[in-house]
Amino acid sequence: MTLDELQARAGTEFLFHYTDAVRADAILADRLFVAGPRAAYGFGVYATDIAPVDGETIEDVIVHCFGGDAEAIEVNHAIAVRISAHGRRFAPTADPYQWILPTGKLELVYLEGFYVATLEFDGRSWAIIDTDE
Amino acid sequence: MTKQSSARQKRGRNPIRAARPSAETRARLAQSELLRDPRIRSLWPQLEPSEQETALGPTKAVGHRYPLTTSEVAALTNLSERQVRYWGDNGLIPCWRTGRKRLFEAAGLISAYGLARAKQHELQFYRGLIEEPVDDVATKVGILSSVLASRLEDIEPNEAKTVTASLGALARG
Repeated sequence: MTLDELQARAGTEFLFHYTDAVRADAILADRLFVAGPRAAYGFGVYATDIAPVDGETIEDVIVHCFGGDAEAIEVNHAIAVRISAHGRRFAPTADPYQWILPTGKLELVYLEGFYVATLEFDGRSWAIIDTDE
Repeated sequence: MTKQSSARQKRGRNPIRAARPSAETRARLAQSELLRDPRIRSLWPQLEPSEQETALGPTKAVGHRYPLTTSEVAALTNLSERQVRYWGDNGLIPCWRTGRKRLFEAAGLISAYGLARAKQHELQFYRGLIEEPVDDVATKVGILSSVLASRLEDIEPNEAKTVTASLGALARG
């Protein structure tokens, strides 16, 4: 199963929430997301339309989504999410690369209906390691 | 239906809900937070490409995702299990515990790689900081501060920022 096949099956574009291994595991197991408290557009779960393609994706994400303030080990998991679910949706921000699903003041949230798949970058390539099936 | 999906279904239709993670998940998330700590970030660029690859995805090396056990960290870094336990118990290799078992996330593995390439006299210095009386530690830190202040006079502001980032993190506690 490839990302393109997942998207074709879902019939919708995905966004990607980049994170580390532990946080990816929390999403995988419980759909538990850590909202971004330090980001410029308020509390919420952040995502981008930068798709995981190759090693350069990591650099792109660090530059465009983290202002250069991250290392590869912090963002080598891409959580594919639907743009909307159950009437709630990720909204674009003033930054063309960043989308946000506002969570109020909640830092740790369960998100239902958004999760599609998890991809891991192992230093060489991206691979899908879990899907919502 | 799995236990997890059943639990998720019981939470209802509200797509965004406050999370109350288990103690294990909280412990792991605390380790995840350490990846943003300047003390860990400063080690990451020093790792060999093969070490970075293993830290990014340990599955190829150990057959599973994080967390790693003491023996796995020892095998990956060429430290002894005793060293991993010692440095883990003294905070130099971050870990969390379930029962008597120490478990290591990426921050722990990165720190272990850093310690594995430290020279014997450096390890001796760190061990002294851990084991010597507080007065002796204060003396060492005083000397270290003086050396650091002198060194900072001669380096670029960006380099100085890198050098002092860990101290800032320490001060913030």
